[in-house]
Amino acid sequence: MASWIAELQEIVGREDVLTDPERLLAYECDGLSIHKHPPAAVVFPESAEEVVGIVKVLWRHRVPFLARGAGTGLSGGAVAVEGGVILELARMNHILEIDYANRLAVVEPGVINLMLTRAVADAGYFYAPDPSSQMACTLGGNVAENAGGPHCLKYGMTVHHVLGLDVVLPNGEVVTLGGHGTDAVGYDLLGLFVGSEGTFGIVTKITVRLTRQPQAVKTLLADFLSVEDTSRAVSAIIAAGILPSALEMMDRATIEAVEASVYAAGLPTDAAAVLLIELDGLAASVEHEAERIVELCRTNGARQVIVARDEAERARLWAGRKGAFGALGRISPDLMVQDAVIPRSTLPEVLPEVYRIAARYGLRMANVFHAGDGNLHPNICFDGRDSDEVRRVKEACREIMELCVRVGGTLTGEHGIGLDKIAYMPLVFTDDDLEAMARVRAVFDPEGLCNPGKVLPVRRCRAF
Amino acid sequence: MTLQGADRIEQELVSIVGEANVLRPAPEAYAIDDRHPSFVVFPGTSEEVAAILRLAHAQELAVVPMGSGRRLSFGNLLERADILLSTRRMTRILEYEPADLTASVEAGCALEAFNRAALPHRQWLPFDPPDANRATLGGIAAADDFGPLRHGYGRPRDSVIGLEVVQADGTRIRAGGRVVKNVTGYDLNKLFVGSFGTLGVLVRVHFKLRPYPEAEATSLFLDSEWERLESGARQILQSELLPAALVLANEEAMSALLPDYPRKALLARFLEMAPAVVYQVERVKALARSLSLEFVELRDEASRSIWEKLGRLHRLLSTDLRLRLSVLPARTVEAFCAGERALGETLARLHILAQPGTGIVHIGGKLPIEDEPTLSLVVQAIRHLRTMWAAHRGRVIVEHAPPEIKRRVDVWGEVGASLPLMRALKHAFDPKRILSPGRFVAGL
Repeated sequence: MASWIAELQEIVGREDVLTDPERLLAYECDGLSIHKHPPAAVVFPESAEEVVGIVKVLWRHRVPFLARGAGTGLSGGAVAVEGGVILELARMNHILEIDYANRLAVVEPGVINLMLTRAVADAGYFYAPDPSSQMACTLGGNVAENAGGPHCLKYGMTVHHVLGLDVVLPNGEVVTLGGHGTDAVGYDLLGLFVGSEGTFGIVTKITVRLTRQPQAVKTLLADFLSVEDTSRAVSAIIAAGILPSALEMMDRATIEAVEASVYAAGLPTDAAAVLLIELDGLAASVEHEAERIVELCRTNGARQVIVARDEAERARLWAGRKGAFGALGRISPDLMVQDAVIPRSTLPEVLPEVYRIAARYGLRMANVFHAGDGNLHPNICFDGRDSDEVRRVKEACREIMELCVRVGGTLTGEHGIGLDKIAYMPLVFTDDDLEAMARVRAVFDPEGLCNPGKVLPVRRCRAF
Repeated sequence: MTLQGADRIEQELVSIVGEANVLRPAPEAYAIDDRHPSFVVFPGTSEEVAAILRLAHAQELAVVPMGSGRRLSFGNLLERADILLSTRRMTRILEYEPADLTASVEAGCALEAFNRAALPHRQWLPFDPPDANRATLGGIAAADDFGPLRHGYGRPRDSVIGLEVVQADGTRIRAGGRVVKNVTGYDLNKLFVGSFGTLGVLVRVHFKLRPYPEAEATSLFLDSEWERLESGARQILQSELLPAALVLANEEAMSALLPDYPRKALLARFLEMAPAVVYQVERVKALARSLSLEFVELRDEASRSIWEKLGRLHRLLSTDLRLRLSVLPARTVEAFCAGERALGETLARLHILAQPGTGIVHIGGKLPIEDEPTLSLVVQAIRHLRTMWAAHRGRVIVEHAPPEIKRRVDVWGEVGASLPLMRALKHAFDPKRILSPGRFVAGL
């Protein structure tokens, strides 16, 4: 047994250091099952002090490590590629402070996203970023990935809602980034840290902004007979100067999967695609905007536009949308949940091309995505045991990435680069761009111990 | 720099940007605090900016990037200033696709010019920093420069989606991209936005835009005491209402803004669909009645104009000291009252503009005389406020002050435990310290 394991046991207790290979299997991958790397050990700290202690031990022994929340990530970001140690933060799940007068909450990183919104709902507030995994994913994971969600069209990503972080740097030093509710001075290390995919350090405390619940919410469902019409309706809504709180598209393959599952929302299975559109804000503007949206959908070929009559109907439509990945996961052994972003005006030309790529490789594809901000999620159903199919999935993904970059888009809107997309980074960034990123990483983690092997490619013996 | 050395550098600069685009020495208007740069250059392209940086890097000349120069004196005194690099000629809108609600501009593009071009599409960049009528978009990004609209729209930092930056050695890099949602690699936009020209020269900026509101109105509550105005602000913040800006202003500020109402005031700006503006004005009118506060309503042009004037207030009142406090929002009034107590007897025309929704407080005024006792009173007041507010996570930044004050006090205040990271970042991006040396926190 390595000597550092005994040192970790001293900090958290023997029970809370997993080294049994069978139990480590649960930590060999995250939500993206194609990348499997079992860690050398998993540790369960319960406080910032324990995190500091653990990190100092690992730093001293030059053992690579990473933090992990719920493991719902979709880029292979929370796996230990070099046989490193996972710090599982799920037990640091306390809401430390809720301060309505200053509209903020202070939480530990293991708090589940939806739990925070539930804790403040009665007082009339919510936490805005709402990734589809919000019932399971942790706020610490959200910070690492700069998580999005359907409602970030209007409310922004995680980075727009994080006010401060307490961070344990890879050498065990503790720093505060941001002002926890006031403006910090100097470089925006807080903004830089959010979305750094666990490669800059480990978060032990997070201050987030709470948002006032809107006076009115209206949810609409528009169905279309062609994907092109659906895409045009999306562009028309954005161009008309309306910023819905969410503007989501689901295609027929997704609708069929959802309707055949427990998430059945009564979606029209004969439609080519539907748009789920949500407006919120003041009742006076929501009414007005809803009328315009109905009109814009109709002009762009919508067969029918319905408005959710009550909260129950609204909840059902959203359950269908948020359960889409689960529903798709049922119909094949494996599911590749892709993520890419394009300028939203290119949606009508790009989306049909994405389907053509899937068809060319003989793959089953379902699209369910954040159309309003051009954030595609082409989902490919496949069988991981079929090596030829896995090869075709990979090639199709590469073509989709190349297509998105060609029209001015990028590789990922909310899932991150992780392990999965490192090879595509040179499609978007030059060597100089990547070298600048590597310099920033080296400032935070000069020894390369914190979640190594993620985000930046290593090429030609030159580590970016 | 020897005279011959300077001649040679002038020749090289001329060969990069042409004779018409090099000034030597810098005319008085280009002085930064009490420093006079040796050259002012006006590159026309990012390639020219890169060539200037390569030259400066090789010769170890200090380069200070500038937009319109509105904010040149924001920062600590420069250690050196050889070349003032103006983006005045780089004013193009490079891409603007209304259906994407995004745009790319050259750094010297004026905020006003851009918003004029976007207005026909009912879109805009909702920024209102001081002297917004002169501001360039590169300058706004470099200083993360905001005004009262921060309350409703966030800081410019939240609207920048991509950058092209010339680094200290002249290599060009891109950060972010042209799409509104992007987690591809590290977000270097955050590193450069708000870095005040100390890590690189911004040459292009990509923004996400916002729909331009259909209607606007401003509601004013007036009173002689803060108590009921503060209560009005609190009630608005805790209601369903969505003001785009919410500002408390003292008598001195109000007599410059609206001479007919030289009283303490709460101003709420509503930018929305027309029926939603009407609804909100009615709601706050009722609120004013319930608090027995005098109420004034300004519509459309009258509303726009008071906010435009507010952005020029420091000029209208010939301000020569301006502090920015950032405190927890619920302590806004407490913070500016403390500021008023600390500076009230030293400053003339002391004016206060405070955002109770964001906790940002601006206190400005005129130094009646720049003698030793006055300067030391001001320095003491700044130190006192810093100590007092540090206990509550508060910060006090000196946005504008005479050089004599900057010599005695760091304009940014204490950074804290993250300073070593900032130093390391500065070293990683500007190892020779040629970019605005000394200007940033702790003299970085």
